[in-house]
Formats: sequence, C-alpha cells, structure tokens
Amino acid sequence: MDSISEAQTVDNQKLMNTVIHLIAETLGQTRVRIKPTTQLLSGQKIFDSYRLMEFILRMEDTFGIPIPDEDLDSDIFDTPRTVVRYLLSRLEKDA
Amino acid sequence: MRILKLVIWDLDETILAGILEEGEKEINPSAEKVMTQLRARGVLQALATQNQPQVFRTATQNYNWLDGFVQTEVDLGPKVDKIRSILDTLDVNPLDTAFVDEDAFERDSIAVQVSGISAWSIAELEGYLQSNPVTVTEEARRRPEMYSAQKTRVQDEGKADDYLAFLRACDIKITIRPYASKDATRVEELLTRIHQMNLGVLPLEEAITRLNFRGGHDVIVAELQDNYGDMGRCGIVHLNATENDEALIESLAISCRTSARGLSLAMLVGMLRYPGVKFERFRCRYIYNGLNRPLRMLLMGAGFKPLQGTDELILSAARLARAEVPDWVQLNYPLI
Repeated sequence: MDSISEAQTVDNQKLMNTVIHLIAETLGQTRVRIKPTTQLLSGQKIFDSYRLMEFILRMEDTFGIPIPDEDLDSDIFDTPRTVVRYLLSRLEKDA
Repeated sequence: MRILKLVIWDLDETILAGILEEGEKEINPSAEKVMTQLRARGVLQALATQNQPQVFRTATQNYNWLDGFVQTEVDLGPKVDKIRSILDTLDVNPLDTAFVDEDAFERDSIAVQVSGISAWSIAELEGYLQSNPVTVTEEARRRPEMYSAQKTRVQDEGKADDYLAFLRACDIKITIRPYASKDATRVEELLTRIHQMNLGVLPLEEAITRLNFRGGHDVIVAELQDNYGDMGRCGIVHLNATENDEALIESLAISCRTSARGLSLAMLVGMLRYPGVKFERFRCRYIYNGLNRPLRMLLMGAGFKPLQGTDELILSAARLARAEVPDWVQLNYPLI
C-alpha cells in the first residue's frame, strides 16, 4: 500500500469511528452494538424518525456541512458505511 | 396560542384561595370550575409550585383534584425551571400551553422566560374556553389517562434488561381500516393538533373539506393499542388516485403517541399497504413548516426517494414492499 492510500484508509477509519460514535451518542445507551454494516433504518430499527433527525443534526454540527432535504435518502442512511461514503463525497466536494 | 393542549397551574392564591404554607386548604371555586372543564375537554393539567415538597405532600394528601394532574413539580427553585421540566417531560410545545397564575408579575415573568407560552389569569383561561368550544373525541377524553400509561411504559422500558424482549412482550397492535364518518371529528383533531408528523401541504380547512367530499379517494385510519392501553386513532392518510396507477398523498398525520419503538414507521407502512388500495407509486410533497422534519425522516425510513429539483417524494410499490415493519408490531386489517 502506498503512503497516500494508507493515509486515506486511516482517514476513512477515523470517519467511520466518528460516525459510529455519533450513532451511539444519539442512541444514548449502547443497547445495540453498531458495526459498519449495521442497518440503521430497517431490521432492528436502530433509528426512529426523531433519533434519525438528531443524528443528522449531530452530523451537521460535527462535520460542519448542512445536509439538504434532497440528500435525505434511505440509501445514504442505510448503514454507517453508506453514511461514511456520503460524507467522503460531500467533504471532497466542499474541500 | 395555537391550540390548548396543556395548562400548567400555579398553586398558592391561584388554585388555592390562599397560601398552602399558611394553612390554606380551600380550593378557589373559579379554578375548580375551570379544572373540571379542562378535564372534560381532555386538556392536560400540571402543577408548578414553589413549596417545600414535604409540606406539599402532607397538606395535599386528601386533594382529589390532584389525581387529574399528569405532572406536579414542587420545590423551592425558580418556577420557570419547573415549567420547562413539565414541557420537556410531556413533550408539549409552549405555543400549545397556558400557564395560569393569578399574580400578574408571575405571568409576565414566565411569558418573558418561556417563549411562546400563554400566561393567563383564571378569568382569561375561562374566556378562552368559552370562545373556543370543541367537540370532545373519545381520544381527547382519555388523554390524561394515556399520558399516565405512557409514563409507566417509559419507566418499564428503562428498567428492562432486554429492550427487544420488552417490546415484544408489549403486544403492540396497529389496526388499519378505511375512514368512516364517525372518524370525522378525530381526523380533524389529528390534522389540527399534530405538527411534527403532519404533511400539512394543504391548508387545514381545505384538507378537511376534501376529506368530507372525497369522491373516490381512499382515506385510511390507524389505531394503536398495547398492553398499557388503547391509544385510539393515531394516524390518517388521504390518498387521491391520479394517473398511471399512482396515488397522491393529500394529507398524512401520525400522532406523537407512536414516537420511538418504530411505531410511526409501522403505522405509515401499514396504512400504505392497506389491502383495499393498490398503487404502483405513492407521491407526496414535503414542505418544511418549522416543526415537521421528523415526518421527513419518517418518509425516508419508509423508502420515499426525493425527486431531485422538486419538493416531491416518490415511493414505489416495490420499495414499500421491502420496508420492514418491526417484528414487535402486529398489523391488523379487520375488514378485509
């Protein structure tokens, strides 16, 4: 692995850790173990509408990016991994 | 005042004719009369008083009127903290709340500190009730009882070691059926009272008029029940069949009684899957009204996709079929 892609992997991992931490913070208690592939909107219903809104507000605060209504899409908020992918594209675009 | 949902009372020289600590036990007849009217209308009542808890407990143990209060906040701290605590716990917006105190200074002080709250004397509250008559629905009459059940539910939930096992043991049922004329008052109440989970695209009067002259439209109503009680009719969706097997959602409102536990999603998905209506797509407009972002989240959770460049959202039948209803909720379609 070259040094650039290694640095990217570390950054992605950091981003993933932050996202998982924000999810845990939103849930208030760690009733469910959150993994990169945990489904946030289906299955165990990690998020109800109010928690999801809180999570999005936390994301906006933490990363300093507004999340417009047109990005409120279940494909984006499906799992922590899809959220990270979205954040990467947003952060890259805004950079 | 938007719609009166909660009245927070002061005690000394408001509910009581005098001061509790000075031995006053007589209830002010005007307050008693208004409290009875509020109970009959299903308006929640709470108490915020600066008294010593021990004195309050001893002096008020025989007060029957306190039974109807959903929350009492008693301590020597600032009254505004108690009012904020009540609003937080009951999750009621200050715009839908009246604080009643016979002391004009207290009223002004609270009005300045709690933005949106109406601070009234008993006579002002009485005047409001007289000039705003309402038809009382079954759900409204039982509202204080439902709040008490909700308190117990939340306490039990907090104590449960296994949250999912707790939810599965709650025996949560959502009954989904077509709208009937007997639902008119309650549906109007849902469209009026609900702010956070209300599509609210049509002005209220038009939404109600369209419900009552709905021609071939489909209007679906959902009721919620669990081991803790019957929460009555909590959801309504009005579907207008348009072209190409598509339904336009004209009205959608889901009560905050369904918040958490995945119930609002189960209710929305359950109503759209009502076997009496079959559409290839559902379309709706979402317009942010300052309060209804939870509804936008709910629509996303159900699988609605934003139509880029518009305020519209689309849900295909295939995506609706994929939406998962939590396994602790049972959907019932009794008339099918």
